[in-house]
Amino acid sequence: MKKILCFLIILISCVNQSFTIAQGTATSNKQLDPALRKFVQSEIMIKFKDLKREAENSVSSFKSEMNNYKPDQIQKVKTGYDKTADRFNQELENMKMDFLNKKKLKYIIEFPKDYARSLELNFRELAQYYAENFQQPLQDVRQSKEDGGIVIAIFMELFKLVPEVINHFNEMKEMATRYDDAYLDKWLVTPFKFLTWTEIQAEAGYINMNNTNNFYNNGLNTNPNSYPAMPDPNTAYPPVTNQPANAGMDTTKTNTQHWWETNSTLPVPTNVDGSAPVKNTNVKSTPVKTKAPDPFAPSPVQKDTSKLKPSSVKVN
Amino acid sequence: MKKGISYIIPIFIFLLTNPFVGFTQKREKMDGALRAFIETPFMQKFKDLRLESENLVLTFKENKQNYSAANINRVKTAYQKTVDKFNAQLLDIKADFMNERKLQYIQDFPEDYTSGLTSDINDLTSFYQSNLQLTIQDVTDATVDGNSLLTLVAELAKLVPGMVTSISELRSSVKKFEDTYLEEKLIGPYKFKTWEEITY
Repeated sequence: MKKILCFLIILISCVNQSFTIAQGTATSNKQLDPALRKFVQSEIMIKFKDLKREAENSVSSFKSEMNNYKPDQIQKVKTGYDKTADRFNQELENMKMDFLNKKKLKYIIEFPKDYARSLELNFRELAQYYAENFQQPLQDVRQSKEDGGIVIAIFMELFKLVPEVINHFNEMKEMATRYDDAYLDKWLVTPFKFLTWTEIQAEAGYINMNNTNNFYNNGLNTNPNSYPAMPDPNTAYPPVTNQPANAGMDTTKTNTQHWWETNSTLPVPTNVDGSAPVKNTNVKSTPVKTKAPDPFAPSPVQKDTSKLKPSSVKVN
Repeated sequence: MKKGISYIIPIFIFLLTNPFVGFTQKREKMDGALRAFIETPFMQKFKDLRLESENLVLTFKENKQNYSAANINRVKTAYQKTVDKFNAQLLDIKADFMNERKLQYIQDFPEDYTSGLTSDINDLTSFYQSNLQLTIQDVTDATVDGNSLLTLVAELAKLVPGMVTSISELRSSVKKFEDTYLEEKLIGPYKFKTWEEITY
């Protein structure tokens, strides 16, 4: 009798578990609801994405000229970028957590000014962090006089747009109770998340396979002494013609795909003659990422989501 | 009959004094809670800021014979605009103390309130720099630089987390404060004086 009871308890818990998982999958596969769509398509999120693109483009360009720099200089930029990307991604996570916290949502609606001010400070701190930890080391290493004007301008616009966020929270108030972690991960975090250094490839058109600093490109090489302390003076640098034809252009749009479809600044690498490169087993290939959802896709014909039973989508 | 009266009188006295006892207890609770808040480094610094700004105005007023009426007016306007901002901040804090829901919010999400307040203080710093400090430096040819005040405002932002912790703690003893009480204990002693009020 006891055995049967134990078996029943285990069976019930198993069924319950798989039901929860199934519910989670169902929720995360749900279409983007209109309120969240409006938010991810809002000006502020577009600016956030612009920042992501600028940062990733800077890394991409830097990687294509990496053999001009010493390992410690590369490390400096790499660390700076990764730290900065972490900060931005943390902010996205925080936003996601706010959507998931019913109590917090209630307060945001009740005291919008407080939340807007707090968000503004976070963005200002991010701007400062970006300038100090990524932009400055990059300029120092490149001995560049670029002032990062574009990024500053984007940040300034971002600050101005903060109060708008509250309106979106207000609109999402009802639907937000049905959002779960996986759903927000899919629609809010993944499309806007900053890639890590290793996920970003060098600028298209020229990939220097002799680059002794590939250690920084892949993360597979565990030998920190594999690159010379000084750049090799005999290194043959590519002629100007090897530079990508689209230098200076937005390389995030490739293969007629939109940047949000690739969720990456990674252009499709080609050889000098335009042919596809031979797969280099020493270089870690770009991680095959799950295609980021397209929050900018035209709104599908929506069913009246308010009529959905919460139990059908909610994960507990 | 006498027995009846002897029962009624103490009850009557109790009923009469009870609201007063309640009031005294409430007042004591508010006193204790607010004292802890007022003693936070943030509020101490806020008071220093007030005193330093008055000192700045006094120093300027002492030498006002050296400046044209137009320049005096420029400094006066810049001062008044700046202190209005600081006083508005103080009034915002007072309003939060009177709002039971807001106090609950601060207790539940202190980080958010801290960030919001820090953001406000940073704005005050910028406002001071671009208004009062710039004007007074311009008018006095930087004889009065206003840097001491700037240092104080900048330090104020760093003290916000401690101040917010104090608000969270006081909520456990007082649910909300009364307007007249806060006017007397918080606004009165900490409010920045007007230009005319600053005299020897």
